[in-house]
Amino acid sequence: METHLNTLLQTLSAWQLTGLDRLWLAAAMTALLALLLGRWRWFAALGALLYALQFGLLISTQALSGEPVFASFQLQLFHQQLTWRFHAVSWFFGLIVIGAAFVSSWFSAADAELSGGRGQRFHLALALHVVALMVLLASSDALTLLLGWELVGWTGLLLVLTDCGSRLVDALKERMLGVIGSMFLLAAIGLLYAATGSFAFNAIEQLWTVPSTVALWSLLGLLSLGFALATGLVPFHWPRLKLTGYTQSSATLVVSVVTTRMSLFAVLLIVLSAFGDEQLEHMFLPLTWISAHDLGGWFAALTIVVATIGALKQRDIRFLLAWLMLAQSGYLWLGLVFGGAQGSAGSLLLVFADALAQFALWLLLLALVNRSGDHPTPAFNAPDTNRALQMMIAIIAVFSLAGLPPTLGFVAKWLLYGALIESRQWILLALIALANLGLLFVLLRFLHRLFLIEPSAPKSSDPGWQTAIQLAPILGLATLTIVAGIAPGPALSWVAHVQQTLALPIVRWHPEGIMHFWWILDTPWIAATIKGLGGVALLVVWWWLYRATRASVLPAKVRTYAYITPNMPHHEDPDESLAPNWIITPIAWPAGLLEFLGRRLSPALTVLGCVLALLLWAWML
Amino acid sequence: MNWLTADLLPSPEFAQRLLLVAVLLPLFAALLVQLPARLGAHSLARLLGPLALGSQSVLLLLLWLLLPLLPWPLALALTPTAATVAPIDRLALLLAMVASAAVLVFWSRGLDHPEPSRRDAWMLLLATGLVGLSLAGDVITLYCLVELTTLAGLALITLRGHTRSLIAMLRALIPSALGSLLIVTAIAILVHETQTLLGFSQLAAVDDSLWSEPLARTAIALLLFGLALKVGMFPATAWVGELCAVASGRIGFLVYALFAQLVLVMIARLMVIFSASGIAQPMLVLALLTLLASALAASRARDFPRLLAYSGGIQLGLILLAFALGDTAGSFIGVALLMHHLLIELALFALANRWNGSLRRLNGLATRLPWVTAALVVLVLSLIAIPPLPGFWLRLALIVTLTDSGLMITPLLIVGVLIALMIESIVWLSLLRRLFVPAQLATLPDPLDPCVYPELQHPKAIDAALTVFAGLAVLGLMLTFSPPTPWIEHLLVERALW
Repeated sequence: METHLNTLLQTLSAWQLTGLDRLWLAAAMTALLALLLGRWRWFAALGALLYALQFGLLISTQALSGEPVFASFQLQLFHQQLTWRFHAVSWFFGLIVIGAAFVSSWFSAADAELSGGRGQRFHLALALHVVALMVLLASSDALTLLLGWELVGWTGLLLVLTDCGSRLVDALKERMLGVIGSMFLLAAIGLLYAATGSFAFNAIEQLWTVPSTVALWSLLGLLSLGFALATGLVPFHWPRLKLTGYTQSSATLVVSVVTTRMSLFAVLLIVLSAFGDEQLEHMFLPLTWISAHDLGGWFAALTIVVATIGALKQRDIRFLLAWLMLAQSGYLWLGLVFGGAQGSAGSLLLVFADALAQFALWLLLLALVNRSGDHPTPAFNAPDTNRALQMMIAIIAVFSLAGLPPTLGFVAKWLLYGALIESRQWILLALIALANLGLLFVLLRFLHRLFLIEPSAPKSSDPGWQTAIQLAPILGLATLTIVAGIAPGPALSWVAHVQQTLALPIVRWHPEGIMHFWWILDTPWIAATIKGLGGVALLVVWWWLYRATRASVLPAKVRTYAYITPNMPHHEDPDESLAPNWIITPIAWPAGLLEFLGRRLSPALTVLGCVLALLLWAWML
Repeated sequence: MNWLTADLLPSPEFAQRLLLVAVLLPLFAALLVQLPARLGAHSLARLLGPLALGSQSVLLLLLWLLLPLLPWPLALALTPTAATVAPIDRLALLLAMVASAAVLVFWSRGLDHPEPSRRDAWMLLLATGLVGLSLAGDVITLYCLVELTTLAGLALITLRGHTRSLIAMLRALIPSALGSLLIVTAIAILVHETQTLLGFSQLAAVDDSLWSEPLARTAIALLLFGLALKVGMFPATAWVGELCAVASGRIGFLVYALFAQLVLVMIARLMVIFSASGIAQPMLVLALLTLLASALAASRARDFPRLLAYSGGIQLGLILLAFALGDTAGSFIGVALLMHHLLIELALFALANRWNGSLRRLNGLATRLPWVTAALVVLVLSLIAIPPLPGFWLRLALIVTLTDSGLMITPLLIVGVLIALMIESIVWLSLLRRLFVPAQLATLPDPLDPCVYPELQHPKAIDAALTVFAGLAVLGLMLTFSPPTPWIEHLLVERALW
């Protein structure tokens, strides 16, 4: 016993903490403190400080530009050494995760209800989720990725359950899909290990020596299905959508806005770094001319179109935002599928831009809900001194989501369009451009609903400090969106580092962040003009909106434009949709069908789909 | 054990007698238990059973400790000479100990029957059957003990005195009798073909060419399918749920879960002996069909005992699948899955004692039983293979071994396993949802369900303790960050037949 103790002490004294160890320890310490002090009313502020500390530790790892940082903890399983390490990809996503947790914790400081047991559960669940995400981001092979993925899924469930607005049934349905997705990932890992004797990502390359493409298609199919199920993509979107729509807490936003994007991290690691862009282009479905590339692209386009139509039909603005998030997922996949320097850069940048804009919009919405005292439906007006600021924040976020200059979303979307033009995907390009117009329309409706409809309930008299605490992080997010849009150099340099780590083609950039697919845009003054025009448009929209809310009687045109009547009841059934008008009807039926299948027959369809897919796979083998 | 020198070791005859006493002790107690009850010494009658089972457990533990030191083999058989039957190994002794301890822990103290001594007698007979079954060294002894266990189990279910239990027993009798018919036919053919008394060692010594003869192959198939039928594998999946629904949770565990797993180990041993006959492939198909049938039945289960029974069927299918893969990895995974499953089923069947009605009765129980629910969550998550719990590593190992096996039906098997696991996950997560849904938000109670006071849902202290213990054990296994690999490997390497 004494010998064991001595050995343990010697090991501990010889243990040199790596950068990743320090980061993990800080994350674990945050969770421990949340458990011990979470009941304290002001723990939110302490939590924000702790996340800032994690942020500092993440920066200090220098994993973005330097060598990968390994964790001291290792595991021996199946004669394999399982390790965890941080590199540029982990660093990039870690930045978003910790930033989201920081903002969420800060924002919650103004929530008077988050004290006592509820506050403890909130902060503990958030801290545990961040720990799980840090473990996921440090994955170095397929098995550690699966472990991290599951950990993130279950801590995400805990986090969602702390939100009084979310429903247990939806949360468990969503987790159920996650578990089923994990089964596919498990099968994929089993296949990989059996074929190559290793869990390493680059072991997939060995499968290229197999003359038949069946093993590759099996692996790709299992991975795609697994990730689609786990992250709630079309047609498995309904539980995730409802969960997002019923959000009432800033912590749930971390799951909805950030965690669901982690599939991109996994896909980057497995599919792109191991399969490679060129291989995907030359992998044809047996007996067809359809490549994995095309299949993925059309799947992404379908997600965008279905989500846009869903958003167009939605009357509840929280559900409208939830549909919007689904549409943005489609854009992310599109960029990845069409790969190349611009596609992957566009996707990565969109993750960042999207996180900033979505977080800003959702937090603004939650702030207005709290201040109006109108639970659970949001209030739509904020006639006070902060109104102009709130409008500016909302418009910046909307511009970024719609891909308009001078925001970061513009840079990301232009890179995506560039990838489509380079790949000569003209039909997809037209479809996506149309869908983006639809998104813009949806976002304008969002602004209209948020600011131009009269409130349904009298506003509560919250103290001013609460408004300041809540508005500060939202303002920070909006500022970052616009600054990064005007000078996207730093963000593009991070993206370039990530691409370099994954051995992807690297996007060419300079501080002004001008794209290269269209030579004319290389000229700095044209880029500046485009951004300037975008800035003017932003100010015009803001001024118009501000003036409109100041008018005692809103012009009738404003209301009829977005076909929303002022007397519409606010307590709506989120599942209910407007009768489609003549614009929507011709394209609404496939979305309706998918929606019906997803909503009414979700469990049966999921199982049936999985069974059919698996049988098809078995038949192919 | 260094202090145990050769002088202190028991003689071979003494050790053999010790083994026989250990197995037959409950049988003698069963024959005697009614006597003090008739004479009015009810306290003595009540004590006799636990005393016999306790002594049996101690003797088996002693033999477990002595076994590695004994220079001669121990064997149990109804056939004349011990040399013809397979020597007992530590795995067999371990399972025998588990069986004896399980009957002792689940001893009902006869409180739920007007004539407790009758019930005690059947419980003791069941213990004899289960312990003997684990140690059997030839096919004839195996068959006799399987029949004894079945008989005692069905009698215990009938003793509940409900019409439902009588009907369930009669229904269960049909596949059981069919299984017996298949086994007896197989024994007759095998005795004729091999000219032996079917000791495992004798069968292992038979020339492999005999096993490829059509008649011998048919006999082997009849034997193994007969055994599988008796423990409720495909196509007898449906009656298992019926039986567990009418039996109490404790009896359900002993008569179905434990019995089936002991028989599965015997099937695995026989598969190794008959490996030259190519029986593994049909057994793989049987495992697949059992998996799928149980999964589909589980999705329709509306009460906790049925859910447990069908979920148990899925696990049995997985264990058989692992054993049928044949190589060392398969055997290892099979034994590990079996241990994992035994631990979880022990806890879940203990809960089924009180949770024996419609699943709707369980709505919102999490708030009233936080510790039991927490343990249940851990057990269920391990059962549905959520990392990093032990169940995940076992499923991963099974899938890797399956994919690696290179059999023609491998894709089909993987598909089957995944479908069954998916359905099982959905079913168990739905149950967890029920437990956490606040009672006032839960759906209206089933009008056909008898009114039950909420406190009746509370498990007895020992059942709750068992559940929490199993949950902690699973968590403990997880914290070791690897399954107890060397220990299980040790069990397997020691065996002469594997």
